Amino acid sequence: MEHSKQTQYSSNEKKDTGDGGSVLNGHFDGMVKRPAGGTVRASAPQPLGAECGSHRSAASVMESWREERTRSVEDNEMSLPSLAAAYTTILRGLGEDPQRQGLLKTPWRAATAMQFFTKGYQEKIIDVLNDAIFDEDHDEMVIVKDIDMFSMCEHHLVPIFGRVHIGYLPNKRVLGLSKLARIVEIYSRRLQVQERLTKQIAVAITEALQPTGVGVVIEATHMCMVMRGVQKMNSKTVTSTMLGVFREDPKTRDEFLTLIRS
Amino acid sequence: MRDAFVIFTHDLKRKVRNEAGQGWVRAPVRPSLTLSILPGILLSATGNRGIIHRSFNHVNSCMLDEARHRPRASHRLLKTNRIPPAETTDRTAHHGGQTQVYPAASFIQSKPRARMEFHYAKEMNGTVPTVTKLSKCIESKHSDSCKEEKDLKEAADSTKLFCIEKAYSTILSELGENTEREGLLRTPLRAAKAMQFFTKGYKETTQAILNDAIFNENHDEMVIVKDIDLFSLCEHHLVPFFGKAHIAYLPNKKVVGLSKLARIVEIFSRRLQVQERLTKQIATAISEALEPAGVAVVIEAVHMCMVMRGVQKMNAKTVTSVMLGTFQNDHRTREEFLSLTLGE
Repeated sequence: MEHSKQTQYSSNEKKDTGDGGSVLNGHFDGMVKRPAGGTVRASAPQPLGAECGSHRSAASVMESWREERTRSVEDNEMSLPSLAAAYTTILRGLGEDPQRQGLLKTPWRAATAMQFFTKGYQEKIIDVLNDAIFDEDHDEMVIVKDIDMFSMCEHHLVPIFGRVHIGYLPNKRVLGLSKLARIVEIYSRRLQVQERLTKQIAVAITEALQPTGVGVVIEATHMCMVMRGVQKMNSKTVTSTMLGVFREDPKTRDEFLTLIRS
Repeated sequence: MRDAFVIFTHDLKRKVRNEAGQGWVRAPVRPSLTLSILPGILLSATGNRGIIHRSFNHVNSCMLDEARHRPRASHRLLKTNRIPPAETTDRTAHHGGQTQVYPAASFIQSKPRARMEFHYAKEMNGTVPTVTKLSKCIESKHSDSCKEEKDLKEAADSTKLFCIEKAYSTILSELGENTEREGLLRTPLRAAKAMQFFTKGYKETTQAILNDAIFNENHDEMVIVKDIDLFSLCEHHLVPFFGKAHIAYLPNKKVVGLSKLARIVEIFSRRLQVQERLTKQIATAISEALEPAGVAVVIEAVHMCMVMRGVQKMNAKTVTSVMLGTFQNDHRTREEFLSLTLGE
């Protein structure tokens, strides 16, 4: 783990200097990996195909915890004017008057809000986790539950919100508890699909700690289903990912599920 | 850019006038050389490059698209022989519509408040005047002349949808996402349609939904419809806020179908809103339509702009209320309403 961290650092530096030169954020030049669900390109960009996309997305989920930032604070400032212009077009297209008093600065506010809702693209797991992994001789289940989660549906750009429950069985290494919530924040503040979000969180914890097992359960309400479309107010979506002993041993899984329910 | 506009609308005018005898005709797009050159000249003159250049091009093309298909507002209003509904036309018509369509309110005390409402009329969230044409079309479904206008309107709608879709593609790429990945391929279209659904209240009028469902009943006790789920969009951040609306009124010989109260909530909430204005609009619409002895509206909502960002307070709720008529004057009526809706 130490060794891989070292190599990660050196490759980080390489990528950082590379990133300084590239103009377009989010369009990777072969080195940068995307959040899972996107493609991992080799040095020669290949055309997207549905079949290679899906097989690559599986691979990239497993490696996503090591991914690079696809956006920086400077990129945010530079994209603000075009984001605001896009929102002005949207306001006009909806039939509103962007010059009325309540809407005068709305394009800028909405653009900043949207950048905040996708700030997970600016953050790296490695930055969050590096200092807070401790060696403890503890091998009982650790659960952090009821972590409020807010994400954006990648299909309709409408909020998703709910709760995340995380449990893991440490294998000599434990993680600072708030770091679990920070991992949730990094992955949820993106354009997401709930299934992928669950898996990304679980995989990140697995890769960072190498525990005996990890379980992640998310129950969320999707505004795209409540505010529009089928309009079911009280529906919730529950997804879970069980890795390691949580998957193999039903008793461990039961204990985890009982404890998060109580 | 302004010159480009003028040239375009002049083209439009000329075409329509020539074929005026044949009714509305969609003016064909004239490949105008000046148009293609002008934006370039303007932009190079001002020295805008890079991101700003890109964004203005985008906005330009969408605005020009709209100008091409925008119906002639003044002509449309002349063609209609109805008084435009109060809440949906432009500000100048608002005052006139208010007093002409409905007789003066039966309670005097609420008038100063109603006048205060008009004072802020320029803040009404209302839209393009094509709404009147649409509601006329809805009523005269079988008229042939309406079909052409409907087609024109559909063309305008699809252009608008296209503009919003392009805007969303820009947003996605500026946020750092890969717009070619499988999950995002049709997201601009879906997001544009979703946004149109969230603002569909602009196209609806209370007159259209209420006309049939007002009944004469000899009932003068309080009627409450509570826990009406409400979803709206914050006009400052374009982020949803949702909650419940509780409505009560004291009928004065006229009662309204119960679901119509919920429909009124829908009309006004499916817009870019401020919670205070939303509450007032609902109360005013009911009092104008029914002339009851009193109306009370309470909305309690959670604002995602406060929960998901900014100050990030998960459990904060915002409660606004409007009391008109007896609810405003008589504290016992008000207390009865509040204990029945919020007491439990």
